[in-house]
Amino acid sequence: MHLSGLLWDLLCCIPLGLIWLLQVNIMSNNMAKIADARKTVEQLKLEVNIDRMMVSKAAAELMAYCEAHAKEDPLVAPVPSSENPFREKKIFCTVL
Amino acid sequence: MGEMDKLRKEAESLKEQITAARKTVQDLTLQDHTAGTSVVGRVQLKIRKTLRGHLAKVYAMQWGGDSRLCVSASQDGKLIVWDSCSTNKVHAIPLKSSWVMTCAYAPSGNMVACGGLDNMCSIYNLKGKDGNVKVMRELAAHTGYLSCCRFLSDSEIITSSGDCTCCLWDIETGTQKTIFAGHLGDCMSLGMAPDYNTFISGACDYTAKLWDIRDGQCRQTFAGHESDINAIGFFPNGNAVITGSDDASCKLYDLRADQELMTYQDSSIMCGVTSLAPSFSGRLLLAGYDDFNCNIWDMLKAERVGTLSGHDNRVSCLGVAADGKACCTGSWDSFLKIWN
Repeated sequence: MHLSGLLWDLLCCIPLGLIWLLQVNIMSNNMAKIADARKTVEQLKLEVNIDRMMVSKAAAELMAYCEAHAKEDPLVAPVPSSENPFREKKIFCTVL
Repeated sequence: MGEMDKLRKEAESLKEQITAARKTVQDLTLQDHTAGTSVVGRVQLKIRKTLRGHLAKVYAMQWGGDSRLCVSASQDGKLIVWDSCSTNKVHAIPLKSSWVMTCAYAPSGNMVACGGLDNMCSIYNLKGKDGNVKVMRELAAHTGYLSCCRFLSDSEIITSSGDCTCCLWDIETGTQKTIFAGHLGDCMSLGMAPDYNTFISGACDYTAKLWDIRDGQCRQTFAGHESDINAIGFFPNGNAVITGSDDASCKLYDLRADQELMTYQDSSIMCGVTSLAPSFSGRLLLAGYDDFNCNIWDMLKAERVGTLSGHDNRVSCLGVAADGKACCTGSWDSFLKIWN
């Protein structure tokens, strides 16, 4: 009878132990989630405070860059075949 | 639980402040500004060279700094360095792991790098003493696949990974110098700023982030896409960022106005963007898609001005040479094509 009492105590410990482990797990999970949430808030605070340029000015500068470099852009202003390193050089037969 | 709710509310409020701040500077849209400009003329590029040699899908390519050599990676387990003019293979490098997803060419031309499902970035020295190309370093620390890598110099490289982080490595010591954490999804692609002070990353959390290389901070985050961002690049002057996504659109975000300026999409395009690159002047945006084609967009007018059709399978990678003279596309059909 003494033994069965001990056995019963032991059997009760297992689920209690599991519940304790589960609680610790949930707690550390929550702490991790809170840490992540804090990092998110800190990051957003950094991003809120940057200087922003007016879109009209930004757009004007993008357009100006495109216009300034259009002539040097071989896909926009194709170069003649003689200057195209990927075109086969035409070889003409000559009569000797 | 009270703390979580407080933090959540604070985050929401900050996001609203950012949205409001962006609206405040939105005095005009890019469309308004370019209303008076005419669309660029139809762009018809022809295939000038076909680079044949890979035996399986080509996953990645990058031009070398000389606008003549380029490197490509294929899941046949090879990195090939090509002379794009002669189509000769300058190097054919066998890889330890054939599951390669990305490759990079150092600006100096001295090294190439690659990586993939092995979670590592392997650096190869092309200018070894005996002429053999050998692994110089294996950069291992990522806990997810290597999706992209880009050299800063012969001694530093930046990698992006499926473990949601990007990393700056010291190639000499093989160690991590800085970890860029913040994305909530796999990092799929990265782009280096022309001045090498910052880089951008696109991820499966549908956002693009601008990072300061030296202090490791995320400076800006751009949302708007409705699916994974697969491709990302800088506008040539470094003041804007272009992204390509599985939502079938590309977007232009201006860094100084901190917002989206343009979306490049068409109702007839329903497949994801896999790769992109701007032309030399930034006027054209070339983008590769899952439907085997590339589309050429007028970046200022958001109109399609050309198509590159020539591949028999998905276009997986695309690059414009530094001198702007040619575009190279790589595909799952195992070929690379040079167009201009």
